[in-house]
Amino acid sequence: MSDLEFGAFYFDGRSSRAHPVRVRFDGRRLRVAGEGVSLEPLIEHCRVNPPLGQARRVIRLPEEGRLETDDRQAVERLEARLGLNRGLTWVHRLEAHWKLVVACMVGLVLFSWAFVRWGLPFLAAQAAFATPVAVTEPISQQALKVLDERFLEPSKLPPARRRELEAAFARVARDVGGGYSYRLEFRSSPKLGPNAFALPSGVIVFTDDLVHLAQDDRELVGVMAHEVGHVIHRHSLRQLYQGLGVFLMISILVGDVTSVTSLGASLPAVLVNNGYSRDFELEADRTAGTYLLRHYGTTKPLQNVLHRLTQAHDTSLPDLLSTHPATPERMERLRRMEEGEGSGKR
Amino acid sequence: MDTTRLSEELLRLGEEFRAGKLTPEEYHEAKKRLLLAPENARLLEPPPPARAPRLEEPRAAQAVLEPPPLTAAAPPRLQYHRFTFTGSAGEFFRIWVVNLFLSVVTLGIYYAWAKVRARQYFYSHTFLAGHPFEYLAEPVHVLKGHLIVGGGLLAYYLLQYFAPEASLLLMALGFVLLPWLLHQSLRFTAYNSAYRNIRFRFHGTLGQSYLSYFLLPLLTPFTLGLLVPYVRLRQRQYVFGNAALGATRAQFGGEVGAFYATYVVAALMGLGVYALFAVVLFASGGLAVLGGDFGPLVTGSVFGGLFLGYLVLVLGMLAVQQHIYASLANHAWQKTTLGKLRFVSNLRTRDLVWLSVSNFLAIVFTLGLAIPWAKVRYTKHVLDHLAVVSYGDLEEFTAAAGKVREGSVGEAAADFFNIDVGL
Repeated sequence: MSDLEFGAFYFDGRSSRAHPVRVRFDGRRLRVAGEGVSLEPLIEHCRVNPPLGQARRVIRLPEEGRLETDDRQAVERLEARLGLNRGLTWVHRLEAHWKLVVACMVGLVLFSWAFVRWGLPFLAAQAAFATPVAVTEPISQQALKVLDERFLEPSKLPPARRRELEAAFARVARDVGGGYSYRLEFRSSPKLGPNAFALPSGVIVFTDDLVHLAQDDRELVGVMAHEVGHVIHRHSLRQLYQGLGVFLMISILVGDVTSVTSLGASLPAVLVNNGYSRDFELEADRTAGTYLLRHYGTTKPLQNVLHRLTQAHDTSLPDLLSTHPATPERMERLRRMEEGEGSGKR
Repeated sequence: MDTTRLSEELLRLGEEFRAGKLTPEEYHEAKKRLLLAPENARLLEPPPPARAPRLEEPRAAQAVLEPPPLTAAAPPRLQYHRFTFTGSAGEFFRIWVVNLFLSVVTLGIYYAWAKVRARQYFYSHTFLAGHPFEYLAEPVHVLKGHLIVGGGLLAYYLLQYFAPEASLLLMALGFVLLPWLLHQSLRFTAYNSAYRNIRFRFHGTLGQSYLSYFLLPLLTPFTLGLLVPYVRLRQRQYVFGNAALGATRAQFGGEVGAFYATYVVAALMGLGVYALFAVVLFASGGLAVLGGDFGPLVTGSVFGGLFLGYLVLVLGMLAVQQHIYASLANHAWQKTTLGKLRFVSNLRTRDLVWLSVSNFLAIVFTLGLAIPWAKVRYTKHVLDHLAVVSYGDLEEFTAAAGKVREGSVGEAAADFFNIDVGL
């Protein structure tokens, strides 16, 4: 096989001396010959280092020997004949062509987008449902502590009123179930206004303003069922894991995890600022709608309180960047739920 | 001065030094004066080989400076070798993009291969005396390290939510482990780097690592920072003085005086920057007062002044930082010997400042696409300013006995957290 002959440097691995040699492959052995060098290792005892750009090719010989050559074509022919380094030769081809590289860039963007859109929510849901409820106790306590320090004050509602609502909440909790340690908490919060949120362990917090805003206790029952919906679908944990996934992905892209390490615990932030994604809100609305239909035969109370909540918040802060789905859409869905029930579709 | 004269001068200096007529300081100074004089630097530069030298003439790039024999008993040949970087920005860009793509598509598994490939690229394009360096780490081995460190990191994130106290504990543990990780990382990198098929070694002990990277930095605040130059010296001593190419140990003779001098200059530069900052602010304030009731002039000069002041501050501090880097790197290389090799490094602060600023702007304005270009450019610059002077050729290094199977956890941690060895 005279086509597989090339010039190279041989290093014996014991000294740094470079020996200029000729290398010939006879189908079984690499015959290395030069001044004071004569080796004939079997090809299966040699290792051809994978190709990398226009760098010199290296072949490792038994007993720490090393060949170094600029004759890349010869080594490529050797690889092709023996079927070596298939994986990284393929990578090498990708790296060699500008068109393929541009395709990789497009692929990178598309894949990242699709992964954030579908892959992460799926993985986050798996992880959230695999998390034992007991583990969510400390995280909920911690989150409530932070919220108490930064946004909340003790409730000013009369105890009788609170007991009334707690009794209603107990009924909702019993009905929806799920094995969480449900508890309804009241807080006053001039900063947050009328609001409610659910912690992963089953603690639900109502602000005094929300209680005042409701014109009818059925509206508050609707909000309770909505928040319990967040709990049973583990929305807060899923949100948390998704955020984590996004940051890990960015860190791979940027190649620096240090910038991510400084991110503080963000559950309180999720609850207060960002809110849930549109899909999560709609899912919680469905839980609430089902409960309301079963007990009152209508989803009106939740629609009403949603409408009033929007008005209350619109005056204070027009959150353009909010991920909350537009209230009209949520109300529309609730209305359709009721109609569907009425016409016997569900 | 022509080539022959210069080589004779250098040989004479070497003879005198070895005969004990010159102190090491005098010798280094004289050598530096000779080698770095602009007219001599031109003589010493071999024609820059754009590509690796052809194999048909293997010795062409090697013997650059061969002096005529002075006596019958020929003295060792004096050789001067420049480091050359033959990589190209376009090629590395393509490798970088494909690496990124495959890392993301494989959900991070390929990252280990990507890391090794990128490093191999830079090693295999760094030539000294006709031969490239080689990076030998096994991607699978690197992957194990990444998985362990990644697992620890994930545990840290999750603990932040579920048990914040435990996460703090884990972080504290990380800090205590830092010198150990660093020690691991240095050993791993050295053992997996080779030149002419001779692996590097790192002989630093764990105790020295804890002294230089844990105890001394811990003491620094109590000395109002006066210990900083000394700590930097110890850290360089640790990294440079414990390196070896095969069986040949490096010697590091860095001097405390030079380190303190560097930091004194840096402090003066810092004061100058703040003074200039103050002047700019005062001037713009003064202009605002003179402007009187003319609104636009007032706001214009105040905002212009603030902007200019900020620019002065950022560029000034960058200059201080790069001065420290260039000056310490030059000194450390100058004072390092590896067998018969000595090093010449002539980085200049203003070049490095320009390089950092232009690289930063390029990366920002291309949304990161210029990262590979910037890396290649920076490497090229640093290697262009590093050279080796040797008595005898580079063919006499021998391998160290025994094999080392180093853990890759330290390397992965150094990579993930950008651990700085203080170089």
